[in-house]
Parts: sequence; structure tokens; C-alpha cells
Amino acid sequence: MHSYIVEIKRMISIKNTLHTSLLIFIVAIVFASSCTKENTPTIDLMEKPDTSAMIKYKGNFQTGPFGNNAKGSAAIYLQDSMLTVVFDSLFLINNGPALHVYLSKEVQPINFIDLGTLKSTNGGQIYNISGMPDFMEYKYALVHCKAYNHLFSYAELK
Amino acid sequence: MQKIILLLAMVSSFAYAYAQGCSDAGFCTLGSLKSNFDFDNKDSSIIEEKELKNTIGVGFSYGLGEDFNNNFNPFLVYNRKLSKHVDLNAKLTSAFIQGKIANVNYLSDIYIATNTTITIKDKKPKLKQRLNVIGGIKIPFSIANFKKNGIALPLAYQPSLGTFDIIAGVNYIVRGFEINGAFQIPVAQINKNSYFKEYSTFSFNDGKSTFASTNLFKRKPDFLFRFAYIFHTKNYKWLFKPNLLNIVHLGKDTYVDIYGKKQKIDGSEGYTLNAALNITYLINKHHNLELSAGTPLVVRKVRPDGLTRKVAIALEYHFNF
Repeated sequence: MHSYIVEIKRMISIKNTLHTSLLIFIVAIVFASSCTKENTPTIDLMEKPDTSAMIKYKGNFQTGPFGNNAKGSAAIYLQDSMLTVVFDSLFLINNGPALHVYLSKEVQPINFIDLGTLKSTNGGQIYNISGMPDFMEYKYALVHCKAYNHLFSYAELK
Repeated sequence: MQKIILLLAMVSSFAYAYAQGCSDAGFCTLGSLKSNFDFDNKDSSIIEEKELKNTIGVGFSYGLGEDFNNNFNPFLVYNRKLSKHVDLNAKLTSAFIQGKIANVNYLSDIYIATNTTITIKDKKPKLKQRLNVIGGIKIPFSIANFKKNGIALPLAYQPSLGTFDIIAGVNYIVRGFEINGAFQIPVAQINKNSYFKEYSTFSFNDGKSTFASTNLFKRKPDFLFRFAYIFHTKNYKWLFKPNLLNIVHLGKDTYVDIYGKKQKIDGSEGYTLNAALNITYLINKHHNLELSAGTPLVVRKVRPDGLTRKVAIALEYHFNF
């Protein structure tokens, strides 16, 4: 027991060591935090729907409160019982961290379906839709910054 | 010599077994949680080794993932003896992942830990007791959201899980038996993975298996408990440590589904038991080599973290100065 007490006392005396460790910890956190920002690629993927796909709904992108000069359109296509959201070749939005594509019941998303991260800030792209949502309810396609809950762009699907 | 051949054969056979890694690459091999190389060694030349204050190491592990993706994990190690009883350990890990879905190369995590040795004086010197207390941190280098063509990759293709972890544990040795107990607790999670299996065409096992959705994955803590027995050859050149590594994942990991709702991943909690073997070869007081291999005997039902390996083996070189 005595040896434990001696050891604990000795550990207290190594506070300089702990200070060094703490400093390393802080520096490392700052370094690692600098890696956390995630921007969306800008390359044009030039994705297009198959010519046999049927267009069901469509809407033009409008600039949201945190977007800049949003352009292009979003359309819902049906092919072989599969629904997709297609952004046309004119699609353009400013970049931001963790941009996602949503189908939403509201312009400011509360009830939504996340279709995944925005593939590119520029050009044609296709997103698969899981299941068969009711587009009378999910009538908005959104580009939304998930990290900060910022709306970049929206298109009302009609 | 026969024992050595037998053990080498065991290592080789492990290499073809179905292995599951630690909760994180690095955690199980950090500081006193790994082999205690110089314990129970009475060779005078080895005692001199204790006075060498620095160790640098380089090594790599290889693992074959669930969808036969190759995981090469090179790492660098630096240990510094700060005082008679306190060591500072640092380990920098990286990943080169090559698979059918994508190739990803990046730094994984850095581990920084202190290891305090407490010498226990008892009335029975033959017990040769020693207690190590380890405390450390794990810092990720990425947010676990590497993509291919704009589509997020599952965690099996991510070099890090994107968690800041605290590691705290003890290591008790008595008469060549070794017991480790340690917690790895995520205290801050920057995981921004956005992989949804609903939209993915990624599969493995001939299309029968899919990767679990890990959008905004949150990981629960792990508790590690290991029993080992350390023995060596008469000339102290070879040290063997067969061990049973128990890992309990303390709760269900979570992700955020396509509707924005947090979901618990059923089966992600629970117990993993690995049988492992570490072999250390002392070239001289400045150089040594270590070979490790392991295989699971019990696994969790669901392992969304992508750490599952069909093959797992590691080789490490240390230079003491």
C-alpha cells in the first residue's frame, strides 16, 4: 500500500510531462479540426437520364437564403419502377460544406428524404430515390447544407 | 526449437483465418497494451537496454476486408522514456485501401499516450509483479467521408472512423501472466460519413451482402480485456505471447437515416473474442522485430465500422537508441 502512495506522489511530480502531453493534445486537435471542412466536387459528371425514362415532375432551382445564383432544374423520372431525381446540365450552385440533396415536404426541411451528398456543384447528375414517395407531399427538391442547416437552393416539383 | 516451429505454423494458419481487428487499428498495440518485451528478462545486456531512452519503429499490417479489399496500414511509432517510470508513446497510422469499389490512401489516426510503470514490492519476489497505467488519446485525420464520383464510400473504405477517443487502461503482470484492461471512449465525433445503402450499388459476397448505412455514424465505447502468457527462449532472443483478446462494444452504434432520424444499429453491440499471437525477435539491444497475428473466435453480429478482416497480420521493426 505504501508503495502505491509513493508512486502517486511521484506521479504528481511529473506534472511537466502532463503539461507537455496536454500541449500536444491541443496542437493535434487544432490540426485535426482543420481537416473537418468538406467541400463538394465541382467537376461536371454529365449524367443524363436514359431516353426511355419518363419525366413525372419538374421544377427550376431558386436561390435559397444561403445560396448564390442557383441555376438549372430538378426533375423526377420514372424508369422500370425506379424513381430518380435528375439535375439538368445547366445546374449550378455555390460550394459549401456537407451539401446534401433532399426531397422535402417543406422549403425549409423538416420532413425530408435525404438522397445523399451533392455529387457536384455543376452539371447534370442523377440521384436514386428509395421507395415511392408521394410527390404531392414531397414537392420540393433541395440542396441543403446539413452541417449548418442552411438552405442553398430549392425547386418546387410540379 | 520445436515450439518455435509450432508457433510459426500457428501464425501462418492465422493468416488464412477470418479475423476481426481491434476497435481501431492501433488501440490494441499501443504502449503497455501490447507486448512487454523486457519483462522477466534477467540477461544483463537486456537490462542495459532499459537505459536506452528512445525507440522509433516502423511497421505495417495487412488485412483482407469483407469484400476482399486489401488494407495496407503502414505506421510509425515513437516512444520516449521521460523518467524511470514514465514513457511517452506516439503512433501515427495510415491506410492504403484497394478494392473493387475504390482505392483510398490517407493518414488514419495519431495516438499519443503516457505509460506509467508502478513497481509493486511484495513479500514474494518470485511473483515479479508490475503494473502499468496507460492514458492516451486518439485523433483522426479525416471525417470518414471519402467519396468516389461524388458518392460516399462505406466505412470499410474510410481510413479513419473520425472519432476523438480517450484511452485509459491498466496492464498487470505477474509471473509471466499478463492481464490488460482498457477503455476506448469516443469523446468527440467528427464523422461526416454520408453512405446510405438505399442508394448504393456497392455489395460483396457475390451480391448477397451490403455495407450498413453509416450516414453521420456515431460510435460507442469499447472495453478491451486481454489475458496473455509471456515466455521466451533461453537466450532471450525470442519472446512469445499467445493471448486471448476480449473486446466488448458497449452499446449500439447509431446513424442518421434518409429521413433524418437517428437509428440504432442492431447487433453492433456486444462481444468479440480474438485469439492472437505476438512473436518478438531481439536482434540485439538496438534492434528488434515483432510479428503479430490473430483470429476471432466470437464476433459481433453487425460490424458497421468496416474493421472486419478475413486475414490480419502485422510486422514491426524497432530501433532503440
